[in-house]
Amino acid sequence: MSRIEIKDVTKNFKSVRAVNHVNITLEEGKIYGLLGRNGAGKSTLLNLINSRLAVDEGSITMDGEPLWENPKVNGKLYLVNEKNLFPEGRKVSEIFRWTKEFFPEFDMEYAMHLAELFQLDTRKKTKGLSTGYQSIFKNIVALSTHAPFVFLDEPVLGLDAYHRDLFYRLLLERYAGEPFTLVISTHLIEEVAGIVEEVIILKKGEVLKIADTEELLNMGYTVSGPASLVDSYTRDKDLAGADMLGGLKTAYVLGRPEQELPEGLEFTKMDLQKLFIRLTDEA
Amino acid sequence: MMRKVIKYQLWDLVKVCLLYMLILAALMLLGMVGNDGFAAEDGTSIVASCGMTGAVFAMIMGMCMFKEHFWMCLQNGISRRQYYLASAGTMAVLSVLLAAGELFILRLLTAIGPDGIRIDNMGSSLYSGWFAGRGLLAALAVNLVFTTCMNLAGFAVGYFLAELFYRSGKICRILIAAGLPVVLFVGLPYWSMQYPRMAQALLEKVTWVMGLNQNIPNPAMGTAVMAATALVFLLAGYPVIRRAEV
Repeated sequence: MSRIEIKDVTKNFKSVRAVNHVNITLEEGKIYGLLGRNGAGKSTLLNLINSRLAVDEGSITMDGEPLWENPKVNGKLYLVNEKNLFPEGRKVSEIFRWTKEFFPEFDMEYAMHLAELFQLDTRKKTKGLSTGYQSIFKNIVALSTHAPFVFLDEPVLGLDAYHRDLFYRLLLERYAGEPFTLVISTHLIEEVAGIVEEVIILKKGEVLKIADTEELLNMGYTVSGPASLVDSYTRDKDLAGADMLGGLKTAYVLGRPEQELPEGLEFTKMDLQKLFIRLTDEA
Repeated sequence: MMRKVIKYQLWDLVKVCLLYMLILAALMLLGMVGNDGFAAEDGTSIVASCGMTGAVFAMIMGMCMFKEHFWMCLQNGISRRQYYLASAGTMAVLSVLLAAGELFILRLLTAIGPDGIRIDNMGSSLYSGWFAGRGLLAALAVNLVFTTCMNLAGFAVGYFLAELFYRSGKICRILIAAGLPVVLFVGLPYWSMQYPRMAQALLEKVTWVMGLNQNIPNPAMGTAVMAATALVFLLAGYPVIRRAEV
């Protein structure tokens, strides 16, 4: 079973330490959510793994082989991010063609099928695509390469709600058909909460938390009901946050609920986004 | 994988090379208009030359191809080393094709053009003494090798400049972008005016190294200089991109 090991990796940009002694293992066939606030080091970490940036300290290996400048393993990874590394003057169909040349496993039929589903005109030049369609085009390429490790940095940037829903459905279909390791870095936590198996939270360049999604969600619970009842219940509890709607209140509580729960209140699973906000709150 | 990179680069650049050839041919043809039937009474010809347009074109291509191809290769999991070696291969192939194309066009236009007009390139201009009286095949072969090496030197210089620019901070970029033209087109002429003897000595050294200040100029020396220039810049270029980042 292949795995990527990130050991004690550090990356500095002049006086800024973007990634600070990070240790992470990425197993084969799992979906990871890489979360963090702006400037936490998510994109830097993805670029380091994919040899677009060089580490200052530490090592990144796949099955013991260093990833940096290693043709044996570089072809097993594929990263798409906001930066468009494809030639702007080339048509989408030409990019598909040449990706197939470099990644023989690239499924041209699947790519064209996805392009049809998203109504992406493959005759268009990449520079002529809107922000949303740039993301769609790159996501299609990434999903069609059949690389064992795929990294998507903000994959739904600029996508409307319909296309985001379609993207997640296709992603899961693709994963179900042939499991691969997927790392999604996104700010839309609610949308990926139901997809990711393991969550990696970065804060100021360091790993704050690595946990199964279930384990993370079991760190707390949600209680809703009339505001006064909720306030009374949560008086001595550790809160991750709260929302008000008229006379109703929803509170996000850290810890385990009691065996016997008070009447009049509704208890549900923790909200990952609220938990994330609480964990990464500077204050 | 290197073969695939070369294939991609050639596919990307061959159209622009063909366009260059067409423009070169068109300009040469244009130059012939109005000169139909000219021949001096003593039998000498008008000699036109395309100079080192091929090498300048190669230099510009070298400057333009670096970043786009580098990013495309990084996107597709190609290592920097593989990419660099493949680029050197592409430059060598294109240098040969450009040289062959140039010679073919000049030969063709000389043959079909009006009497009394001969079109040279840089090689046959500089070493006209050596080429005079040589057999056609020998002359073509030597000219091809010289022009190929000159084109490759142009490619290598342009590519190296692009790499330097890519890796440099803002101040260095300004120095390269503004400084180089100032040095070449203002500084050098001014210096040669201010220090004519030094300039003359330098020119003599250059012509000696290029095999030009002999009774019969020696294209082998010029070819060696061009090849060495290409090699130096290609070798110097790899350390520059070895840790280049996106």
